[in-house]
Amino acid sequence: MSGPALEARGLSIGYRRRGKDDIVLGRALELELWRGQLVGLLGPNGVGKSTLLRTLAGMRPTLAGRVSIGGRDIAALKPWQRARHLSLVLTDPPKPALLNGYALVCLGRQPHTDWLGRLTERDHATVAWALEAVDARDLAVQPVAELSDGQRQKLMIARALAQEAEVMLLDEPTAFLDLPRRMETMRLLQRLARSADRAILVSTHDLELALRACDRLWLMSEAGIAMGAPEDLALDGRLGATFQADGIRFDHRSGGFAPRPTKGKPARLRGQGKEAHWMRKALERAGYAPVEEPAAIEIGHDGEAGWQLRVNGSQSRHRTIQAVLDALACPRD
Amino acid sequence: MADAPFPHRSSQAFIRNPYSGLSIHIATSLRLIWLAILVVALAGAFAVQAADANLTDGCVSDYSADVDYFPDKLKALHAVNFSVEYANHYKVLRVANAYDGAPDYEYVLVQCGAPMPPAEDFDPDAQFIQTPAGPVIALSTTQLPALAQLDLLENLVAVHSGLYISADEVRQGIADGAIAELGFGANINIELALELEPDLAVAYGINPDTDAHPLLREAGVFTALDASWRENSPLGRAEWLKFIALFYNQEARANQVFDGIAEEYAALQTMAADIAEADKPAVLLNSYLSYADAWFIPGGDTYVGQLIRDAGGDPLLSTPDSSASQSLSFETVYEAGLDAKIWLLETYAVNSLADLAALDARFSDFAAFQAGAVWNNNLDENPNGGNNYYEWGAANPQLALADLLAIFHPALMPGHEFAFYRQLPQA
Amino acid sequence: MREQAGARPWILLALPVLLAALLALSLALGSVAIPLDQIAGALFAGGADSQAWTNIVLKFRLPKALTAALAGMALGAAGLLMQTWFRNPLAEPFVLGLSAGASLGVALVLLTAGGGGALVANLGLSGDLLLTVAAGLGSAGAMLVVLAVAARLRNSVSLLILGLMFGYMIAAIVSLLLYFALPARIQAYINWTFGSFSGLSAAQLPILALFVGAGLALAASLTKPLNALLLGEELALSLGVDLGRARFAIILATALLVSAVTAFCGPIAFLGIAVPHLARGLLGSADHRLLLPATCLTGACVALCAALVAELPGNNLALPLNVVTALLGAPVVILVVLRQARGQA
Repeated sequence: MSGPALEARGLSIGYRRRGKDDIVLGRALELELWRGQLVGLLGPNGVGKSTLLRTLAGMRPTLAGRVSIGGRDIAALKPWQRARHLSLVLTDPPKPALLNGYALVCLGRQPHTDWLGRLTERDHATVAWALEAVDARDLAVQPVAELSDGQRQKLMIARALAQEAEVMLLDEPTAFLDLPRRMETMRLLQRLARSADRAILVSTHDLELALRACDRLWLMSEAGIAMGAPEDLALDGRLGATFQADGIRFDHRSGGFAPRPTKGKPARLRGQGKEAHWMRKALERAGYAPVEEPAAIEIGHDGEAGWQLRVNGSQSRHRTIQAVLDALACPRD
Repeated sequence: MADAPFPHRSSQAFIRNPYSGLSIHIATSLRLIWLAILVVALAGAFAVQAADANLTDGCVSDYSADVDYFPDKLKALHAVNFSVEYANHYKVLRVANAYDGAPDYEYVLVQCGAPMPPAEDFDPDAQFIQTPAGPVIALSTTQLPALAQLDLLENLVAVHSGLYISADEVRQGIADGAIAELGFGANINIELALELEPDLAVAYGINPDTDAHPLLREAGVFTALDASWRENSPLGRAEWLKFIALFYNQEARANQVFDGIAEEYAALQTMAADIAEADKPAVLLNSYLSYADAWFIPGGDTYVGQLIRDAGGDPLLSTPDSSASQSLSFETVYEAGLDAKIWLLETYAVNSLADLAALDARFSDFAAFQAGAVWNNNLDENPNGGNNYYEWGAANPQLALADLLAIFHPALMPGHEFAFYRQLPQA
Repeated sequence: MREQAGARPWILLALPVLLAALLALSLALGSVAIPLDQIAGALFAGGADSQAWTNIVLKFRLPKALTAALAGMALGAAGLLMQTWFRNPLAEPFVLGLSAGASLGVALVLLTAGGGGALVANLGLSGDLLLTVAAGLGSAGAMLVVLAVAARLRNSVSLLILGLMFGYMIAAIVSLLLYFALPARIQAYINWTFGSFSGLSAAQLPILALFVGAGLALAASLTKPLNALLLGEELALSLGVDLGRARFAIILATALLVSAVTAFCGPIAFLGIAVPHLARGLLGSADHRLLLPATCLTGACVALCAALVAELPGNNLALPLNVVTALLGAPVVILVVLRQARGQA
């Protein structure tokens, strides 16, 4: 591996407007994508993530600087040459009628086939491998139009894999998926980056998932793009700064965003584990400040017996978190 | 199709019209005015007796319920779509079948100077007008020959458009600004129409939603519907000059003009009546309209069907007693018409056999084509393509009949000068 | 797995058989009853017993059947190109304003008093050939406008809207011409809008065949980008499709197919929109390598059926072609819309 699969030097992105100033969404960007890595592109809405992806894909002209792929300027490549090095997955997987999963993945072979798009045995083998790689063999025989969003997105990723391009760009591929499907997709991308030796850039809104799955993050803000391992970005506060907004804070422990704590009544939460985790969330939501030192309110969980609540010395037991919150709201004297 | 009610069909042959010419009108009208004054004076002096002629100008000054103010009466002999009923001082004109699904229209024409008859005696939708009327809007070109024949053109204040009118006096009147152009159908310029202060408008109906007549009525203009184009009989269509005459108390004149036409027509018909069936040539009609995928053959009782039969011809493939046109496939007409002796066209812009062959090469297979016996009815066209066959010809079926007789049986009509039909030259 | 479930590639073998049968039927049936042996005689033995019969078979039925087959192929293929390109099931060949352009050309010839008609008549043309040239020039003009705009507008939806607006503008001009025109010429124009397969002479047929052949060849070379376009323009681009070139080729192919048919047969409605749906339903696959030939064959069959129905065999009457294609085509479109609505529910 001699160099990055895709790099951008002195890149400015944005829109040209006739007779007016350009709208610049990012300038003098220096970016590198390496094989074997999953990179997450994060940033607030409207900051230009899609524009960056499309510029890197050679679908939009750059305002300045250049993007090169395998050392060659992407603007100089013809579409079919570009397609051999770079594949793309979009947010909303298309829903073509009368096409089964297999035929859809076969479209990924177009950059490699003749003018009629005839498939060789090698093409078929690659398609089968791609379906296997995303664990979607069962979808091959099904009509695409009848599949769920998640299943179709899986096939679109398989199609991008079948394209055998070293760079894969995905524009918010999980936006329309439910949580388990989102996690599954990010894990899949993480796996593919390593096993298929791809350079994968995925833009997402899902910070928690990105933190867990991505090898590197690109944090895009109006100030520019901050790059690094997710953990470093979290520790040095840049992650929090990128997404700062009123009433929201970055929770270093959970790796997610939470409502900024209000000055609530302190409540001591005893115990560890998942029960304590969820009770903490519930208390924060209800306007209490979970603390570890003794306080007028004390809450603990003792296994089978459920929740134990002590308010100013009077004690009660509750089976559910809701019951604890209800008791706190209307304390019995 | 030829029977379509469009306003712009007509005649330039006002030149041939013995009653026309603006100077003649004026002189005649002056004479008529003096005559009318005399009549009124006499009527006033003696104050009782029945008038001896209809008042074609001015009003009754001394009305008497016992006087028959319309000693000259007329009656529709061939036309079936209008009828008139006379009372002493008014006449009731009824028009039927003015368009598909039309109600019967009733018009009450009251002698000027006489009292209005009570409205409850008539159809609630009836319109009232005093006769003799003055300024008129004529929205169909077929009404222009009648106005000329009755010497009433000076009353014409507006037409729909001068584009397709053949009558020279009318074209001149439009050029001089004496006659206004109001526009077609529901696009009629009502404000201009009202400014002309017409006594009546004569309109035609196709579909009340797109016609001018509902708008004119709504604007308060007395509007009569002309259903002449719905007459199948050639003489019936010409007889609608009587319809115009009623509004001007010109019954005597109308009878005289129409009887002349009918006599000429009958004379020609008699010439053809003796021709043996075997000597009647098979006449192929119209042509294949490739984009309509049809060849329209008029029935034997249609306007053109009657003309052909009256001229001693045998309209090919035509259903004998039908007053409708049939759309036939080219194949059918091809098989039946290959040997037809004569071919009559009503086709715009076909002026030679070469033009006809350019429409469809298969036309040149017909025997009539090969013999050069193809005739088109567009001899007398104005510069915009308005065809006088549909204007002057509609009012003078004897001219079209004479043309056809000369085509079918040239020996009967030596030296005939054609009015509307043109034999197509090679190129 | 490679074979698509529900796909019926064998339909590509069945359709030619059906087409041959319909062609034979078109030669055998007509308003004039001709015995089968006489038809065979006219076709193969140098003539039937009657010259009229020979001419009817050779000058009427054969050119008409071939015209119908060619027009059906062309309109079906053009409809498929448009539906795939716009990714809209209701797109049809006429959305680019080609037929509007053709109608303007014809209206100028038929409706202006001495104007356009005289101009072209000076070229020594007249009759139906004049209409053909006028319609061809009109749709070629429309095509140039669309191509010029397509080079500026990257967005196919903008182009769709533009084509529609273009059509409305031209319709307004034609209405204006109609308003001032002579009734006989209005009738001639209205007749043109009815469409017909029967106006072509044996000499004109090869011209139509040439245009349709060129358009179909171009369309056949586009099957690969068309398949990619099923995923939308962006993904097609990422799959290596040169969008600019594909757009140009699709418009050019559509223009060749539609202009030639409209020039010779008038604006034939509904075949373009209904035939691709019918072909997809029969074939059960959206793969253009199969779908394009299936659409051509289906189009030819449907057009022949429409021509047969319009002729009402055994009867003297003939119905306007567009009445029949609309009556056959509209239910197909309705079915598609209902199916889609059900799919979304």
